[in-house]
Amino acid sequence: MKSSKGESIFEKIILDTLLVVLFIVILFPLIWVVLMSLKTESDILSWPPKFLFDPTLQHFRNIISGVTKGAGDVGESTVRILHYFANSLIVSFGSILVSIVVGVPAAYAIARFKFRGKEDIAFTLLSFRFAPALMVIIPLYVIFRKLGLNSTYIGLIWVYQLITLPMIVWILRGYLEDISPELEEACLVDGYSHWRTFWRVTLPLARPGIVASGLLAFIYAWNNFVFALILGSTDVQPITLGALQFITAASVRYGDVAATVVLAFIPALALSIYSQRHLVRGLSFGAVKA
Amino acid sequence: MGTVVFESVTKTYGETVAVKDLSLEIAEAEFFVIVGPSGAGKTTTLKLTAGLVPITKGKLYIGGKLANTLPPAERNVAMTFESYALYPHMTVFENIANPLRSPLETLTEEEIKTKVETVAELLRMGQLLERYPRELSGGQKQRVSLGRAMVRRPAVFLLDEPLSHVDAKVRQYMRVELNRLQKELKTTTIYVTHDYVEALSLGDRVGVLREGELVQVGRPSEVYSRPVDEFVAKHLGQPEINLIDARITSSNGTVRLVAEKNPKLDFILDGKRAETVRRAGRAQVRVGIRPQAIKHSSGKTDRLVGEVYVFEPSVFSGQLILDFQGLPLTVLTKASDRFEVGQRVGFDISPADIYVFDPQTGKNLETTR
Repeated sequence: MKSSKGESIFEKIILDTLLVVLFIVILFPLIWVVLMSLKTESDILSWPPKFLFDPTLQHFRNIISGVTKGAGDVGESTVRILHYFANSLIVSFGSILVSIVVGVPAAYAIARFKFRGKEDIAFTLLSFRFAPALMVIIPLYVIFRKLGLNSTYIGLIWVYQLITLPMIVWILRGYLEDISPELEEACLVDGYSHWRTFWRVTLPLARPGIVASGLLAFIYAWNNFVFALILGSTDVQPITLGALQFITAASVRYGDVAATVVLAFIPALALSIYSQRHLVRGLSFGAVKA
Repeated sequence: MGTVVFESVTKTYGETVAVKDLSLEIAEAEFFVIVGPSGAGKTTTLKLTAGLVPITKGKLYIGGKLANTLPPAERNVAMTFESYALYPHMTVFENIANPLRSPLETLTEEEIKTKVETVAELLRMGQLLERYPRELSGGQKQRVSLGRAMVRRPAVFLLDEPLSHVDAKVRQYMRVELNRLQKELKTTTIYVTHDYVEALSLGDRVGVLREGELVQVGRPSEVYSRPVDEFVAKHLGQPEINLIDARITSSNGTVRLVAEKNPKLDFILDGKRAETVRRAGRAQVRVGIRPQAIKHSSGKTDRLVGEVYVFEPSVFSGQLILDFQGLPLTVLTKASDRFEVGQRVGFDISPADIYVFDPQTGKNLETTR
């Protein structure tokens, strides 16, 4: 393969142009939603679309106060977006926490030890990811109703493990396999127990991997829609469903939806920018030997 | 305190036997070297001793105590790894201090600092303490891993190929240092290497390992001069020993060994040696001649004359391959000697310097009963 230094200026220009195009394509929806959230209802619907307009914070005021007014007097209602937002935080962080507590030891066991059925367990976990949610949602609904887990945080956190646990286990497995067992052996000989060795050597070395897999799993959990739609009620539903409340029989309140979306993507965006370095290193660690 | 006793210790991984029926007693303060080619089970032997892999069969005593099921922490051994296994997220200081911070120790921060600095001084790396392992050269990493092993004063050192990845100059120096350190600390040491020079120069005793089996144990001079079989003779010594197929004829008390490829090369054994060789009852044997044992000269008075096939000069000693009428012989020469290809060289071999091996089993006929 050619090194980046060996590229001609011409190639560089083409690559940069492609990057810019990609950048625009990916970022445009984000920018458009941000613009929408700052427009009045009539500006949103005007054609051709306006890029210059008088910004308004009305939509943010609407979603924060909870009492929302549509254009004119149509569709006045109370939608507690901050409550949905809090639900999102509780369910997403809760499921990541559970996944890490369960998934780190699981990934460690799969990476380090030989035991019967190891690959089967690993594969079963992975299969949670490629079975579409819609396939399992009806049996899950029946199970949840019988167990009384419908519309509870515990229930949602539990079902979110289908999303987060396989991701954490599989990313961490590759990561942990790359940590030489001899480092642990050295620590054992140094006079530590297995448990202390794990805390002293393995965990610090796996930290970037844990951060990366945790973050990725968080984003997936945060984005989830269908599980909460079927298995939750407004008490526990996340912000992805909160935005839906503005689509009513009377009108679709685009401005409020846009403001909700902006509110919803801020945590994910902030987290991924903050831990970008971890993410890139963590995701490529298994593939490329250092 | 620091004795290590293996009693028919066996380690198997499924079908493969890594260490087979190992019985060995290592004395207090002894420097014991295990030498053998890669895959012979050397590292496994160390890991068995450290408790990092469980023993399949047999008994292991460390300091007189049965250690089979003791966890590594309770064996009071220290080990260095071929990969050094330095903790990448800790500084050199923290790496060396790690054994001192274990739950088994109760030292103050001040005491830890003193101990680490003493060891760092001993290994001449006081200036490296604040660095991270990735910032060190191979030789420096080596010293850190030794330091981590030494800081606690364990009953037994287990050293796994400690010099294999350091460059030649450092190796020479470290070999001398290791010898000095061991004599100074008087700690029982099991040292694993594939390098016979290390084995012969460092060990109080040497054990030769092949495919998980201990082939021979003895003082370095013993193992070198009385190899029990072809494998030991070939493995210890550079250039490799000459092995020549020969026929036996015996007549009134003497035995004559005649090289099959060239009958002009023959040896006559008499007395006890003849008796021993004859008693083995072989029609054919393999004669081992160390390249060092072939005395060459340019004089024409020699009984044997060969032609130079290849000559490889070097600063320390040359290596000459003579073609003795179809029979190649490797000869070690002095550094100052010079030869031309095709040149005729006279040589002589004293029957006292040869080994006689059984061609089927490879055993040395004169060391086996």
